[in-house]
Amino acid sequence: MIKPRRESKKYRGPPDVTVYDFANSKVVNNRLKKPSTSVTYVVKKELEVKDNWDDDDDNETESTVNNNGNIRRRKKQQNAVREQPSEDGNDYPFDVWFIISNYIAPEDVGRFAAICKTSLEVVLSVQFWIALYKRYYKKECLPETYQPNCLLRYFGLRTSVIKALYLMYPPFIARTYQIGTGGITHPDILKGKKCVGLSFRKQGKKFCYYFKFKLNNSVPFYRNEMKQQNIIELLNDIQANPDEDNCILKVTCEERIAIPPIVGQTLIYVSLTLSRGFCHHRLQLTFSSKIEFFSSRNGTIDGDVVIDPVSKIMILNWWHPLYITDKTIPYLGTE
Amino acid sequence: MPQIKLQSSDGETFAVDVEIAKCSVTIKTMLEDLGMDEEEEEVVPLPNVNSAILKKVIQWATYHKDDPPPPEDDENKEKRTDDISSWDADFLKVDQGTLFELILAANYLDIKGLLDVTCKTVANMIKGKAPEEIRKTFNIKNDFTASEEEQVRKENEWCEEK
Repeated sequence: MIKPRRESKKYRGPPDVTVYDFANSKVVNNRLKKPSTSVTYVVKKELEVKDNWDDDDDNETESTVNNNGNIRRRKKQQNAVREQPSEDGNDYPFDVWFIISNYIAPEDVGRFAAICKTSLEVVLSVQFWIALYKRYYKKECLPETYQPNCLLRYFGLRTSVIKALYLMYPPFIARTYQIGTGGITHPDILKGKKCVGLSFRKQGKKFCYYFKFKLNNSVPFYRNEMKQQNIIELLNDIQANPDEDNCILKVTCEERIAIPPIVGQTLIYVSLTLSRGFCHHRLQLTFSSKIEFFSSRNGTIDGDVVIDPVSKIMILNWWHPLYITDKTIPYLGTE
Repeated sequence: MPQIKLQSSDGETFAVDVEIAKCSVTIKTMLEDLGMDEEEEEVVPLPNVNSAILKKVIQWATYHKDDPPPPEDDENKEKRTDDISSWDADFLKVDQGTLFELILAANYLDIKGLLDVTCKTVANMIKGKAPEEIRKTFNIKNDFTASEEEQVRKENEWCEEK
């Protein structure tokens, strides 16, 4: 039988009292009462909310069917506060979304990802992109860069698969063909964007001008900047895409035009009208550097580019095959 | 014809022809590996499937019992979603919860034909709909904030038709 431990009878003076013991002591001696919610707790809670999405990978997940056959809610740690209260409804497990994802067509990936965070999590997975690539793989349509042996790395996998889809998936090919031959896409959508590159090249008797624009600098909420500082995380970033926010305005002109230095300036005005002969277009692009040099050149126009006669205008997003493979696009340096 | 009993998660048992039950690879493997004799009155527990769903699964398997075995799943092949038979289409006119539970059950029981047709049905219901419509159709909780939703949309501009 184990004897109960006895206190030493020998008196050794008052025992050591830590700050923690003192703060949590039930006996209050002329001190402020300890708040039930500490600052540490509040800060920790806030950080939890901010990191909630990124922590999801680490959270243990529920993907089972309970005794009643009802699908269990997926995340165990789902209590984090959100900016907006979520609506009522079901929250299906990752497994269901993953199985369904095998049947999602490339053009439906966006709407599938936007259903809920679990479906988005599927779309952010390596397996999803590899499966999508394999489903639509056509060897003869792809250059060496997008062949399977070049897609073994996870870095930029999503970007490569999307670019490959635009070369081998018929509905996407049809779209790019439509853009390529359908004439004018109004460059008005580029207003407010910064020109980060400029180049031109002669193509036969025509001149092609390439204006590279940066669309925005926003970082998706599910990307953790802290994590990306880790080299391993960085190398496994399937979302990596240096051209994510860029697009190219390709203007084909009948004549050579002198273009002032506009790189680094913001497009503030776009005008696309008929040319004098009514056969072509006249494109006017007005740039301003007022954002960068606000103090010295407030509101002044720094670059006015008039291209006339224009035979073709194309806005090439990063996924457009011409953005990728058109060897006629010279190097457009980024800022 | 020999029968076996399948027991759902809520304890209900269903007597089913062995041949029909064997359309589930999970049950087939169970019978083979465990050496369960078809003559014995063994009960096969299916803890991941409730009685309502198991009833639907048995109904589907009974109708498709004479179908040729489905081809091996080729992950390198595009999956068509427009080849659902009219019987299957009628069979899957169920509420969204049942549809998702059938997917889970088909996955657990490893019934490729049922998994295919249920996933195709969901994929077809997603096609061409806005995310909000999809959530409404399947009664799915929107756990995105407005800004998150906008970011997801932006990130996926590449697949939008303009």
